[in-house]
Amino acid sequence: MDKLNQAKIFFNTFYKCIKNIKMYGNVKSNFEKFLDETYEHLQGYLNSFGPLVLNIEESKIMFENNTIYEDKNKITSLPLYFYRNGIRSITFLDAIEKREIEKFITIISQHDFSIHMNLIEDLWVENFSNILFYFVEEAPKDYSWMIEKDVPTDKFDFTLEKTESSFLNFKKIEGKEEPSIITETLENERTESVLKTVLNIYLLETDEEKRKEILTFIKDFIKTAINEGNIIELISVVDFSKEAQIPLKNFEDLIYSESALELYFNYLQDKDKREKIAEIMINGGGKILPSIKEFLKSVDSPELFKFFKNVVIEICKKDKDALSFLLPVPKSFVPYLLEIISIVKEPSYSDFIIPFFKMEEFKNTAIKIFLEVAHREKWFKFLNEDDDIRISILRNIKSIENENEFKIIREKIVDNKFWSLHPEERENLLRIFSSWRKEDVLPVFEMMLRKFSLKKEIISTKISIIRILSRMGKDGISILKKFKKSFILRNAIKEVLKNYGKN
Amino acid sequence: MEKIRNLILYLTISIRTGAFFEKSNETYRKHIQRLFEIIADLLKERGDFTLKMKINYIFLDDDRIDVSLDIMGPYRLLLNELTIRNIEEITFHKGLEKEELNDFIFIISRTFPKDSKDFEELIGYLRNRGIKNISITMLSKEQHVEQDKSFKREALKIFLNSIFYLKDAFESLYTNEQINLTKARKIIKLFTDYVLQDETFMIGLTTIKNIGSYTLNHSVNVSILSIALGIKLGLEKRDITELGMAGFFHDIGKSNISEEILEKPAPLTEEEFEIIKKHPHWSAERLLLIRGLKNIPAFALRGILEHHIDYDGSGYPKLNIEKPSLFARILRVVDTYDAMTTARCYQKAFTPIEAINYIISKKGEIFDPVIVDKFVELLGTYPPGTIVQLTSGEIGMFLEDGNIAILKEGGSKIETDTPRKKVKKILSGEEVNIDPTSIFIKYTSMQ
Repeated sequence: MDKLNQAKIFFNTFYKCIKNIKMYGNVKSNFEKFLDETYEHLQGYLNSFGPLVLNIEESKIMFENNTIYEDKNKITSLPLYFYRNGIRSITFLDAIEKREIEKFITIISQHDFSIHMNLIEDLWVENFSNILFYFVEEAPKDYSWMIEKDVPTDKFDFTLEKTESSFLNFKKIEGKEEPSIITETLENERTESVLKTVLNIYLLETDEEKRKEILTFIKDFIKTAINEGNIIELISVVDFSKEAQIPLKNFEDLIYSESALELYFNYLQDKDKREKIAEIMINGGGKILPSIKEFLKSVDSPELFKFFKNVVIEICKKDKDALSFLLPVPKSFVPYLLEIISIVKEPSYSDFIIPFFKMEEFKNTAIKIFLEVAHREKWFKFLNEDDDIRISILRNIKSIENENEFKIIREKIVDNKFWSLHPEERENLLRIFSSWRKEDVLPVFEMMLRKFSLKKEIISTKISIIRILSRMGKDGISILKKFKKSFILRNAIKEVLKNYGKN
Repeated sequence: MEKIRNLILYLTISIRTGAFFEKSNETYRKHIQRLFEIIADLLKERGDFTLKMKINYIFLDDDRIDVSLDIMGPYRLLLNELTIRNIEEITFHKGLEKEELNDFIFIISRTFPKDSKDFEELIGYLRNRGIKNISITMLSKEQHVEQDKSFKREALKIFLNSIFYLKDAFESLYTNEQINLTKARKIIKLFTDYVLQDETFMIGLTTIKNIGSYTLNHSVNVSILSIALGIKLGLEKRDITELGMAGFFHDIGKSNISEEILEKPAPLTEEEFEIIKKHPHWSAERLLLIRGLKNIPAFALRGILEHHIDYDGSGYPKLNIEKPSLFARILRVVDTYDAMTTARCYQKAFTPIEAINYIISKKGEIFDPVIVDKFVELLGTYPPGTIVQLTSGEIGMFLEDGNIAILKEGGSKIETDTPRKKVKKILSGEEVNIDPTSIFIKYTSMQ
C-alpha cells in the first residue's frame, strides 16, 4: 500500500476512536477494537515509511500536501479544534506504544471541541515520548505603558506576532530522597483532597443557599465515582460525611442508587472493603433490601450469605418493617433468614416463618424460632396444625395464661378426638390444662375419668390424669377418692394415695 | 531531505527521552538505534558532518536546513534543546559507534551547562567517557546574549501580562462574571517553561512588587515562587500546574474585603482581623462556585483553603484536618516570604535575608522543615532583591544567579557586575532609598 493510503487509513481509525469516546463516553463501546486497529495501522505506516507527520490547517488534516480529512463544521471539526488551540503539526514516532496513542486520543476527546482552549496545556503535562507537536502560542498583551516611567520603551518589542514554543523537559533532580517523600505525600493527599476540601468549604459556610450549591459538587463527585466504578471514593464520601457530621440523607439517592449498589455488590469479594460496604448498606436501611433480594439470587457463597445476614440483622434492628422487602428469599438463604428472625426477635416476623413449617429441611428450626419469636396467641392458633407443629408447640407451652387459652385447651381435651391423639400430645395437653384454676380444671378431669373404656391408650391417659390430680392437693385427692373402687383405676389410685399419705 | 528531517527528529526525541528514561528503556533504545542508523548513513554519504545553530536556524555544515511544516515541530524543539544547553555545534565523525552515541545523548540530555566553565567540564566529562567521535562547541557569546535578551523580555512581558490578567479576574468577581481560566492555565504553563529554562531569572522577577496592586503582584510572585519550589521538590508537571494555579488564585477571596481594611495603615481591630481570616475560605469557595471542580483542580483548592494553616495545625481557618496539605505548606512558605519582602502601607519591607531568617526560625512550627530547606536552597545565599554594601563602598542589589546591579547616581543608573564581589553588609532598601522593583526592571531593559 502506498504512503498516502496508509496514512489515510490510520487517520480514519484514529478519528473513529475519538468519535467513539465522544458518543459513548466512558462506556467506550467499540473503543478497544478501534484502538487496536488504529495502533496496527500506525505501526504499519511507521515500519514501512518512518515517522508520520500530519499537518493541520483550519479545517483540514494534511499529509504531504494532500488533504486526508476535512471538516468545516465550527462545532465538531477536529482540525479546527487543533488549529484554534495553536497546533500546526503532529508527528508520530516509531517507538510509539499503544497506551501512548490511547492517552493521546483520550485527551483530545475529553473536552468540547468548540470551546476548550487548553489542549496544548493538557498535552504538555503528559510528556509524550513518541508524539511531537508543533504549535504556536498567542503573544502576551502589551503592558509596557505601566512601566514606561522606569524603562525606555524602545527597549521592548511588543509586536503581537505569534511565537513558537515547545514542550520542555523537566531537568533531572538530584537527590531522590526528598522528592520521593513528597511525591508519596502528594499521592496520599490526592485521593482525599476533593471531598475533604469541598466538605471543609461547606462546613465553613453559613449561608444555606451557598451550602446547597456546594453540596451539588459533592453529588457530582459521587456520580463520577459511581460512573467510574471507584468504590474507594464512594466509601470516602461516607467516611468524610460522618466525620464532618453531614447527614448522608443529602446524598441518599446517589449512594443507594441501583448502580451504586451494584458497585458495592461487585466489591464484596474484596474482604478489605466488606466492612465499609456493610456500614454503607446498613445506613441505607430497608430500601436497599429489594436490591439485596435480587442479588441473593446470584449468590452461592456461604461467606456472602453470612455477610448479608449480618447486614440485614442490623437493618432490621433499626427498622422492624424492613424485612418484608427481602422476601421471599432463595432457598439457600432460608437458614440465614431464620437466623435473622431468631436474632432480631420481632414477633411480627413469625408469619414469615410459617411457610417453612411445610418444608421438611427447615421445619424443626422454623418451629423452634417461631416459638421464640411469635406471640402466644399465635402458638395457640397453630394447635390445629399437623402433628409435628402441634406437638412441638405444646411441648413449649408451660402453662395457660388466660381465659382464652384455657378455652382452647379445654376444647381440645373434651373433644372426642382427644383420645386418639398421640400419647405425648395428650400428656402435654393435660399438663398444660392442669396449670389453670382448679375450679375449672377439676370437673373436666373428673368427667374424663368417668369415661368408660377398656382401650389401653385411654387407660394410660386416665392414669396420667390420676397422677396430675394427685399433685393438685386436697381437691384433686377428693376426686381420686371417688374412683377408688374403679376396677381399672384402683391400683393406680391406691399407689398415688399411698404416696400422697407419705407426703 | 527525508534523511535530514529524520536526523532532526530523532536527535530531538532522543535527547528528550534520554532526560526521562534510563538507558535500558525500550523506547529510548529504539530512538537511539534509529538515530544511529541515520547518522551512520549520513556519515557514509557525506563524511564528517556538523549540525550548527545560528539564531533560530539550523545548518547542516554550511547549508541552512529548509523548514517545511513537516519538520517545523522537531526543528523548533531541537533549537530549544540546544539553546538551553548552550550548544552551538554538534559534529559527528566517521567511526562513530552506537554505544558512544548512546552515552553522548544520555549525558547531554541530563546536563544544562550555564557558562563556559560548566561547558568545559562537560567536554572533559565526555572525553573521559571515551566519546571521541562526537564533538560539541558552546554557543557564541553574541548568540547567547541574544537568546538571553529575548528570553528575559518575553518573561517580563508574561509577568506583567499575568498581573493584568489577574486584575481582570478580580473585576470579573465583582460583576459575577466567569473567570477566564483558559488563560490562567496558559500563563501557568509559560511560567513553568520559563522557570525550567532560567530559574534564577524568574525568581529575580519576583523582586518586582506592588505593580497594579499589592494583591495582584503578590499573587503572581507567589505563583512563580511556588512553581520554582515545586520543581525543586520534584513534583510532576501536572502537580506544578495545579500548584501554580493555587498560588495565582490564593488571595482571590480578598476581593470580598474592602480596601479600607486591606490597605489600613494601622493595626487591624479584632473585628477587621476576623474578616481577613476569612479570605482563604472565600478564595476557595468563590473559585469552586464559579468554575466547579472540573476546572479548578481540587488539590489547588485545598492548597488555597489551607494556606494560612501552620505546619503544627494552628492558624486559620479552623478545619477538621491533622496538618495542611503539601500545596498549602508550600504556599505558606512562599506567601510569607513574598509578603514580608514587600513594602506595605503599614509595614516596611523586610530584606530577603530577614524574611528567610524569620522563616527558618519558625521551621517545624509554622513552616514545613523540608520545604523551608528547599526554599532556602532555591533562593541561594543572597536572594534576588538583596541590597548590599560592597567592600568597595558601592551599593548593589543581587539580581539573578549571583549577579549584582551596582547602583550609580542613587540608583537612577545601574551597571551589572560579575558575581562574587565582596559583600560588606546587607542593607534594607529604605536605608538607601532604593526600590528593588525599579532596579530589576531597569536590569531587564538593559538586556
